[in-house]
Amino acid sequence: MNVKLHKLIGTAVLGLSLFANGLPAGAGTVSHPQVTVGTSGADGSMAGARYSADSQQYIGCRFSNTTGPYVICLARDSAGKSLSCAGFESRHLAAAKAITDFSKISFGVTPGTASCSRLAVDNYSYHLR
Amino acid sequence: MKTNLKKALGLAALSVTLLANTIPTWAGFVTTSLVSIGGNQVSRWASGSMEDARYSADSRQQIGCRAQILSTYSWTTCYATDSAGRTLLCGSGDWKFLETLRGMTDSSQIYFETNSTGSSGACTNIVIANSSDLLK
Repeated sequence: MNVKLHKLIGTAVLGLSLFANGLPAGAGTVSHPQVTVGTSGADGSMAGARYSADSQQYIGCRFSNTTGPYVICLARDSAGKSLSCAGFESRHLAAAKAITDFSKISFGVTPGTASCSRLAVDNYSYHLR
Repeated sequence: MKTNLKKALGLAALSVTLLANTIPTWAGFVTTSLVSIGGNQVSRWASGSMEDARYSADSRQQIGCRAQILSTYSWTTCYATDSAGRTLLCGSGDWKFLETLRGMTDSSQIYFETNSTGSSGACTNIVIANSSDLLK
């Protein structure tokens, strides 16, 4: 009886250890929007794109300040549709620098050009993985 | 004996089930950006992502930048070592480079150039990329 009890406790401890290591206490509001690409804009979260079921999605920006502000944002949705825009103003650079690993990014393209009309970066708790 | 085997199999099944639940099957578009160093007759450049360097198979790769503000000026440096042990360092007192570094994250991909053909020189360009495909 005593041996059985020990085994039972051992099994329970093993199960709890594995459970505790792997599954975070996932409470709180969660939102990981995947990438959507329209004709004049794109948006999506870094986590939603990276951990999506397909192997197409991505969203992000690259930036530099070497010869003045320079930002290029790119996105591709699950269907392979992509959109990009470029911004050369301080406001574009300021927004791009706010991007973290778990941001939600949204950008717009001025119709008929490749210029960014807007760039929004959301850093909220519910976008964390 | 049979009971013990059943118990062992039960335990193994339990462990596998729990493990399977804890390791997600990550997809999404992924880019691997190991540290690479190149150049031509007038300049040299280095590129790579922080995470791919940190978790590379070898023990040599590294890439990163330092933003330093001193009493009257700033001093920005970027440094990289590839898997072959080649290194590149650039430094600059220009505030514009310090500004760029403010957008770096743990997953950033870094690209920098020097005006030298040696292993160190003045920074002539620093580019940071933050994108979902660079996340681990």
